[in-house]
This record gives sequence, structure tokens and C-alpha cells, in this order.
Amino acid sequence: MLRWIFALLWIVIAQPARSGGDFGDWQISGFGTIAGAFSDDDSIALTRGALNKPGGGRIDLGPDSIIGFQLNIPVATRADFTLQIRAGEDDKGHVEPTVGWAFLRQTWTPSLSTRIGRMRVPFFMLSDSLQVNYSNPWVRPPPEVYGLNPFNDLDGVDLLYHLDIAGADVEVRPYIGRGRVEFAENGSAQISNTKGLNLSVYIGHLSLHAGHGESRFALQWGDAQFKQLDAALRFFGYENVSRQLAGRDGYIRFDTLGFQWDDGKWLVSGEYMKRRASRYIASNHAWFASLGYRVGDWTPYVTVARQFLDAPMTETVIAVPGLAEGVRAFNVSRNDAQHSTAIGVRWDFARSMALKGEYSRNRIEKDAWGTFFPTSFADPFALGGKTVHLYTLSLDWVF
Amino acid sequence: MRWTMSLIIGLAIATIAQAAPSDLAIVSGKSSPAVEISREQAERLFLGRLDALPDGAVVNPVDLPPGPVRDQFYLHLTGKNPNQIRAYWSRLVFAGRAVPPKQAQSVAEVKSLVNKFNDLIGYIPISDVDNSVRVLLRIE
Repeated sequence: MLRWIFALLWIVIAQPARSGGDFGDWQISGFGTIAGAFSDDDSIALTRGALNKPGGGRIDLGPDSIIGFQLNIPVATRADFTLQIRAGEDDKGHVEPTVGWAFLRQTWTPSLSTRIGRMRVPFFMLSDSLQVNYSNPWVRPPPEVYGLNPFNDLDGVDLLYHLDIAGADVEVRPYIGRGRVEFAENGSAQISNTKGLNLSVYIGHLSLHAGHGESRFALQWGDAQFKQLDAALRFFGYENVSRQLAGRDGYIRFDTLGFQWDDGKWLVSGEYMKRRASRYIASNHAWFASLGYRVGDWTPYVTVARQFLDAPMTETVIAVPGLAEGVRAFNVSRNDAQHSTAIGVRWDFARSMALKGEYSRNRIEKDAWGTFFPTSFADPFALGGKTVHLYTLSLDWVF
Repeated sequence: MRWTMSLIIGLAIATIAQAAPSDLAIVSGKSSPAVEISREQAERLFLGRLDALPDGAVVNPVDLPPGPVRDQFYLHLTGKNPNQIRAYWSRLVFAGRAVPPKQAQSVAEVKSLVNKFNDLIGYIPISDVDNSVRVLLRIE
């Protein structure tokens, strides 16, 4: 993927009529966040959907800090190339640049354009700008909802079609593609044959969003807990259970409904999301509701969110006592169900910079790990039912 | 003392004048194909949700530098304050949806650019409108 992105970029750059010429200028922009999260409980660590390495210290800069650069290059009268490189903490605790966007856009008519290349997986309402914290009131999008999709990238094609229906701007966006992701402890997952349709409606201050996406799905766990469990399951003849935990034959569906209202004073938003997985991960639904009010450069806000477990990875009854416990522990460690209430304030103290402070009370459901990781694996059931108080301070900017 | 008073009054007037600039006009060059645009079209053009008029003519907006005139323009045209506009654009730009308007350095440069490039439109205070530009829409 990277190779052809750079090949494409080289072709674009090597064009004789390039910058400032017939098609306009290159534009460089960027965004970033430096954020520290602090919890009152040092037996757990916050993770961003296990995509970053869970922190060991009490103040963790890993989950939310990120930096990104973006380049937009016009390549023809109605065609342009967008490249976004971003760097945040990855699953191994390293900060290495990755390609976020790399697509060629062709605008065919004022209301129709297509994009080909690397885009973000658009399963949720805020997926496209998920890591651009400056564009959101909060320190991070509600993890109960946004943690349900671990995938970032979609290598494929989408089509954006705008139409005007009774004064409302309606956007129809079908897409196809594939993607992969690596996560904590040498795990990785792939989506292929991914297809979906998003519908957005903009009416004045209100925007509405509905989306459906589905995909073939493969997943490999790399952690010691899985390897031991997998070996034990096979030893006792439970290959069928083993095949529910990891493999290449999964199918996954995402459905979402959301809205945003911003009249300059009030900021109201909410989203409902349902994830159905045939195997390898749990099936869940989740929602959030958020209310903010702008007073000059200050925006206090409150957000409530909840994720529910609909079905664990496997529900097969295991007759071997120790093994049954192992499968239960495995289900628990992959169950993110929790609910939280966050209150915070955003301060737009300078042009293109915002400082945010947030306190959240997170209640992990029984038999779950929520959006947290234990710092010691001695008791996998210790997180269930815990209440975690989390404090986050975040500085966001764009240029 | 009198001198100090005059300075204070002068500064106060200057501040008021800066806080409330005169009405604005969206303008194009004299030979531009755009003759007039509706308020709704103008809003979508300047918010990056439209890049051509119904007849197919491509239109690219140009911004003034950050400041009271630009803030007033967006507030009156789109109802969004400067913080909202920046958050809005950050979402659009980094979602790979649109590129923000190019920025002119001054009202004089807007007038010169719209005449140099037929597809450009800009906004300037009504008081700066002269024979070199065509008014497409008045923003009050």
C-alpha cells in the first residue's frame, strides 16, 4: 500500500505543470493534540480501543496525543491529491508516522465526486475527523461508541453525491474497500470486501447521519492468554470454540444513526451504533448524548455514553471446569461494555488552539474490561464492576 | 488632559469602527461569468459544500486575512462565530472533504485577484466597492 502511495505521489510531484501553475497551489495544513490522562486507580490503564500500548504510569500521554500533517495538491482542473501523515502511539508503544489519507479525488460535476486511495473507514458519524480533537468539543470522542470500530483505514473507492431536497443538502456516500489494523500484544485484524452506504442531511444548524457498513472479517490474537487457551481448547476437542475466537471467516456489520446541532450557542449531539459480528469479537450496541453551551471562548459540556454487550464471542458451554473459566476470562477481557459520564470545558484561548479539561466517571460493567487494560493480569475479573475516575487535560491545535 | 481625552475618544471610536465594520459585498471580476448568486449558494460556496453554480461555472472563494471583517462576514452569512468556523474547517479539511478558501492579503488584493481569475469571488466592505468589481450579493 505504502509503495503505491509514494509512487502516486511521485507521479503527482513529477508533473511538469505543478505548484502555483494552472491548477492552483499546494496547501499544507496540520493538527495535533498533547493530552495527559490520569486515573485514580493505578491497577488499570486507559487504552484507545487497544490500538495504543496501555500506559504503565499514572499520567498517560499515549491514548490521545497525536500529530498530523496534510498536503493537498491540485493535479488537474477538477482533480486533487490529498495526503495525510499522522503519528500517535501505536500498539507497541512507538510513535511512528503512518499514512492516514492518500487519495486522488476527481470532481465530475458540482454534485458528484469520486475518491480512490486510502481513506478512513466511515462506519460512524465522526469517523472522518476522529483524531482531529480540535474539531470536537471533548478531549476524545466517547469511547463507548467509537471504540466499537477498531479500524482506521479503508483502501478503496468512495463516491460523494450531493442533492438538494426541499432546501436540505443531502449527501449520499457509497464506498467499497479493505483495511487492516494491528493492536496490542501482536494482534491484527483485516476487513475485506467492505461495502457500505452513508447518508447525511444538513438542514441549517442540524445535521443528521445514518450509515450501514458490512465486511468480511479476519482476526488473529497474539497474546499469551489466547495462545494458551487456544491450545487447551484444541487439546480437549473444542476446535469449534477455537474457530469462534480467531480466524479468517468472520463477517461484521455496523449500523449507526446520529445527529448534531450547533446554533452557535448550543452544541448538541448524539449517536446510536450497533455492531454485529459473526465471530472473533463480541456483538454490541452503544450510544452517546452530549450537550455543550458556548459562553464566549468557553464551552462547558457534559456527555453520557454507554456500551452494552449483546453477545460475547462464544456462548458454547464448556464441560471442562478450568477450561470453562479460561473461556469466560477470555470473553471478559474482550468485553468493552461500560458507561460513563464526562463533564468538561473547552477554552478557545487562541486562534486555532484549544485547551480542554475533562473529568469522567467510568463504570465498567460486570464481566468486562471497559475501555481499560489491567496493569497486572493476575485476576482478569478484577476490572468488572469497577468505577474509574479519569482526569484529562488536552491541548489541541490546527494550522 | 484634553489631549488624553481626545486620544481615549479616538481609540474608542476606532475600536467601535473595527468591531462593527460596514456592510459587506460578495464580488467577482468584471468579466466573470457569475452575475449573481443567492445567499444560500454563497453560504455553501464559502463553507466548501459547493464549488460551482447550477450552470456548471466553477467558483472558488477567496478569504480576507483573519480579522473583524472576515469574522463579521462569516457570522452574517453562515451564523457561525470565528471559533465555530475554525472547528468547522478543521473537520472538513482533515476529513479530506474540502480545501479552505485561499487567502488574500488585503481588500485591494481581493479586487485584483477576482479580476485576474474569472472563477474567484471574494468579499469586501461595501465602502470599498468600485468600478473594478461586480457585486454578486450584499451581506448586511
